[in-house]
Amino acid sequence: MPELRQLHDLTGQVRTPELNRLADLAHRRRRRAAAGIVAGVAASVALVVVVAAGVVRERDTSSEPVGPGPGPSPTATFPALSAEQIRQHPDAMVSSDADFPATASGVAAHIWSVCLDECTRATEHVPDELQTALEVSRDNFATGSLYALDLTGNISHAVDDWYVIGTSDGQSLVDSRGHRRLLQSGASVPLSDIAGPLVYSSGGLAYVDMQAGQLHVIEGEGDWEWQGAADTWFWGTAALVEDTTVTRQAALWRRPDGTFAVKVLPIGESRGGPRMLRSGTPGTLAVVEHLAEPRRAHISTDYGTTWQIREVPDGVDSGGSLPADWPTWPPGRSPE
Amino acid sequence: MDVSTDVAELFHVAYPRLVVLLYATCGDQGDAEDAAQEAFTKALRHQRKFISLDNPEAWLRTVALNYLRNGWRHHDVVRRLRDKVPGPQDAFELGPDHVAIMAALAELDRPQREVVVLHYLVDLSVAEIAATLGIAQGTVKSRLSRSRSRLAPLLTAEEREDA
Repeated sequence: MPELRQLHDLTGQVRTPELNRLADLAHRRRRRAAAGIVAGVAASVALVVVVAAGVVRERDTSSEPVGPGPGPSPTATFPALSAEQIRQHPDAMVSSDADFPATASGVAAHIWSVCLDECTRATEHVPDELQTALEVSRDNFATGSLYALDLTGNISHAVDDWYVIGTSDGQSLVDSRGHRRLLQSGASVPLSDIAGPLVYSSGGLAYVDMQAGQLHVIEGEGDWEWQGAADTWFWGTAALVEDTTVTRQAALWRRPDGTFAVKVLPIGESRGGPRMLRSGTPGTLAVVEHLAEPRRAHISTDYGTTWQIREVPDGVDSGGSLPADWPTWPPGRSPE
Repeated sequence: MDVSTDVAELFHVAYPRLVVLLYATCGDQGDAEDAAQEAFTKALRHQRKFISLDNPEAWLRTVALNYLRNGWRHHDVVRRLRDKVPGPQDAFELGPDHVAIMAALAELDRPQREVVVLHYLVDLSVAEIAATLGIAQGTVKSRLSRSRSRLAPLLTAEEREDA
């Protein structure tokens, strides 16, 4: 991708602000840091806040930048806030809707976070310095449920208003109505045995058995993408990657009875994974091998019962919509 | 607050590079400048230690990317709560190639975009990217692979059109 280097041209257009004004701002923030923490926490935890503010003042005059990577272990501690305290904190920040787009009508999630000190990479292992909470709603946040998080790396939407979050107790399903189900670890399975919505777990790509409340890690390193929100129906693709080569590609979908199904597509190794064409019709899946020459689409219109392969004409975006005239596309040959 | 000569020199050299890196990562010049200025503001709070780092620019990069990841998405709230760093935010004058590249990058999700920009624009290795972003090297490779497959037809199509 040498083309990207052309963006270096833009460095000549960057106008630098006055450094002294940044320095003044740094000075003001330094003085205000401790006061900001004191003002930030609700009165009901005032005693804890006094302790925290003391710690922050101490860190404010002693914590200094360290290089990226493992650094010295700060000893500061911070009070553990409840999910509601995190959301109500005056320094709380909230994710945009684009971070966690919904896959069901009206369902959305926000991540609330509050940083109690520096929150740089050098301090990311300091317990409770950055505290986060997940808010799940199915009515545009008129109502919803809040969950404190302690492992922010594991938040995945599963299906409907269910999300999988990682906590010190393990991984749990949570929803907009306040339900929480701790997931048990099930056996790892091959790509062909997926029988539930895919999520990213601490063990890698995994599917959730919603009935049994079990998490099954998919064998191999994998990625997945869904097309649900854009298609009014839950379906997506999964791919296994070895080194930088995609070795297996599959379509995943939910049947009308709520069960899940998967089909490993007859696609050979590829430099990249599949793309999807939105159809807007429940039951229709269209997965494109967009690095094939010619490009091929694997299409089903009956919830994955039957499949056909078509050559994708020039002018059709591999990640766009499935045109209505697709049945006129020439039949394609399976590469396997 | 006095600013050391070393920090001032680094600022004038590294700031434009950092803004372009962040702009390529997030696609918004204002957010890129905010993140770059936040990183320098943080460095200025501890400037003596900062300038003694082996690679202060790498530290700035990491802090700014963390800001983009943890804070930039929350900017609506942040801007209400924090002092706004003053400064010019004139829009870049983009040529056709720049527009095409930015449009192609916009096809990637944020994690993919980060690794692509760090690899192809900043020339970091897979290991360096993994260290910068705090993710596994395998994850970097996977994201690069998926990103390449998405970008290749877009950038190639642009070249064909130019021809």
